[in-house]
Amino acid sequence: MNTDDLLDRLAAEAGPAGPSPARRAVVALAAGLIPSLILYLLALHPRADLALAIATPRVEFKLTAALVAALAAAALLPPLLAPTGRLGARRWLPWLVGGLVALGVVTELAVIPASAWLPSLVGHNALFCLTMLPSLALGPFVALMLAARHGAPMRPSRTGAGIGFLSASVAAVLYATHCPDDSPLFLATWYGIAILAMTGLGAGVGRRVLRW
Amino acid sequence: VEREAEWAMLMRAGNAGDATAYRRLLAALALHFRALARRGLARYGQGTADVEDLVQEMLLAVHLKRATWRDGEPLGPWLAAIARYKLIDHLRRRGRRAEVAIDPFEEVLAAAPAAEPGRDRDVETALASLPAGQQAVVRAIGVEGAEISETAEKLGLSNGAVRVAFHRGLAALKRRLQGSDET
Repeated sequence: MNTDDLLDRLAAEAGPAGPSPARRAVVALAAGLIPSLILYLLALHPRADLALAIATPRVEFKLTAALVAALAAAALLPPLLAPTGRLGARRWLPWLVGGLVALGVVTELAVIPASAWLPSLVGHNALFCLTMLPSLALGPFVALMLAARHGAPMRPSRTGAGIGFLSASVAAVLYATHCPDDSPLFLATWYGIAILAMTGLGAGVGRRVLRW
Repeated sequence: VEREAEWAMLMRAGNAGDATAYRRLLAALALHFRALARRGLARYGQGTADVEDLVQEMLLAVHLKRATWRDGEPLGPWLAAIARYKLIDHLRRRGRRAEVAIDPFEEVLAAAPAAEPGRDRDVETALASLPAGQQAVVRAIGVEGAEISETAEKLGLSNGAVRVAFHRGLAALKRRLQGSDET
């Protein structure tokens, strides 16, 4: 096509640009959480002793770490969606999350006897955690990917990784209220594996679907 | 910077539905992008043949991705980022097309020397296992390309006997080769 013809055609489409990708992402996250919440209510439920357990340091740590991860991921996403987005100081947020978890692990290793390390790490339901957490993440993952297709990421795989990280962290917050394993050793291992796997999946999917 | 402010104004007007302002913006951007595309492609050793394609891709991206420009944000860096992404994307796709063009040829180059010696050896083995008469006839006609009459003369046989031996020999050869392929 002649460039002048293209100009005419595009000019005819002058009009509202539509919502920013960051705003679309917020809507997508909310919509994507609906299937996750349904799954949570059907297959999981808050643990029976949540009201009591929430006052114990391990559960407090578990929920705090998951929330910090989710907030960090949410803060990372908007700059990943725009071509001029600069992460700036936000690039350190994943390390902050990692440091927080490492701190919890070191503290746990110090306060429990070495003979309790392995049972704490293995926990009760590692496999369930590994399947449930990604399942809970799936809704937000898909919705955010679709929303991000309206964005213009300079590095699609990195943006995809951010989406995987965010959806898995949000899923971790949900799952943490169900999971009876409270040790930071369990958290760092199994939540960690699930979140990293979703982050990697996001990078792979993003590379393919977020090109523009 | 002055130009950038004017473009930002036109962009805002375009988003408000002013098609004339939007066309003016796009026409100005086409000039700007054309210079960028020419320089960018030259830097990577590409000819100017694709310049107009690339310019159109950049313009289309500006149009489709304009929601990622926040009003109030400087327009220049945003345009530069869009243009850079499209240049890289274009070069990457060019690179892949070039690879695709070479690929089938490479396959032939790689496959030919690997397959033939094996095949030759199989044929030679099968040929050697034929009865002496058939072997001599198939070698003379099939491998050396001799005529039936000259073979008949050389081997002291009738034309008909040579013809029969040739066909039986070929049939036996074929069975043996197919047999060896199956194993």
